[in-house]
Amino acid sequence: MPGRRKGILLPLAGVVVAALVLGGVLGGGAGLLTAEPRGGTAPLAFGDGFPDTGDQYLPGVTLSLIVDEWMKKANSYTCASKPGEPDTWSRAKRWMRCLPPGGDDNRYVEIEYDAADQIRVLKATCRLGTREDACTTLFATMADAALVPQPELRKRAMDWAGKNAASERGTVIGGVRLQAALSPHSMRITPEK
Amino acid sequence: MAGRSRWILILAAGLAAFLAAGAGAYLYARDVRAGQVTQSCGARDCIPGVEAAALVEALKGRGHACENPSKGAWSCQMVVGSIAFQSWVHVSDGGVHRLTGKVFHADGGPLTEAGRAYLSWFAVLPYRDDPAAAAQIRDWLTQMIEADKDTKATILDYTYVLVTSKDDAVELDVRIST
Repeated sequence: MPGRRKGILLPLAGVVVAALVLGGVLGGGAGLLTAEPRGGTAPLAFGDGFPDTGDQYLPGVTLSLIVDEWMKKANSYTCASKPGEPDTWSRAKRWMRCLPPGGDDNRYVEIEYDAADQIRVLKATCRLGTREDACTTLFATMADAALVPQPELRKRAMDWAGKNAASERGTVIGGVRLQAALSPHSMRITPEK
Repeated sequence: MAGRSRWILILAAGLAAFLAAGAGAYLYARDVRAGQVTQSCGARDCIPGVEAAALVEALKGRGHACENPSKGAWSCQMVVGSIAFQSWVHVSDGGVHRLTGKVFHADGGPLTEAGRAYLSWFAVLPYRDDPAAAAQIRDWLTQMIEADKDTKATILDYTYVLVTSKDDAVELDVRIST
């Protein structure tokens, strides 16, 4: 009897151990190959609100709106365009400067843009004096022009610019930042998201 | 007779052991793989399923200009008015082992909605397939931004470092915990 038991135990143990190892390796391998890691199958989708190319530009504002409608028609300013400086903050491809009649450079408007319908920055500078009406008017009419594509906000923007022309304050109206500065006395208009 | 039944017994036991071990190992391996939110890339671990080149291309498609001055990391940037959206994509063997997003507001305004969306997109990138984990991370980020304090947290497999104390900037660094 003891001889028989020994006779079955040895091969039984051998076969079971071999089967366990083989099963474990094959099963484990199959498991690793067939399952996907938890992260990493979804494509790189951007959700709503992630900044996009179009956000870099003032919504709806075009060069002709600013230059032809506001600068030339209303104020007889003349504008000249140049390639943008590569190290400007906005990285705009083009840059335009508009001066009032007579070439008086105490007042001027700068436009930083990539294309006629891609305006990045509008900036008016006025060195006539912080409380000077001409400066306040320039800033307020610029705010008005920048909000032409959002007619219901025009008056609000114009009023804000008029009231805060001689300050360092800023506000955001309809996705557009109006930022006043005192040295030099200026108003800058940019998109904000 | 006795010899034959002995071999049948041994074979049956072997078969049972093979099946049990195979099934167990299969289920265990699947579980490990499915719970894994990193994947190896060269000598490091990376965010699974994200190729650095594809990520950089995606950012370019959203208006970023990207450059790769140091080989190890891409730096991408986009300017919206007075806000600069910046990101750094740290590369190992084509994968991404670390991500940094930063929103700088030159006029000192508060973090905008797009700014939040920007940082949270980087934060949930490793867990974009897992709505529950993504929601947990977004909630954490929102709370920390509200609290306006520098924080470091380990969430699941990743370490997040949020810095709000730098002037006019909020920065979030995402890397795999070691």
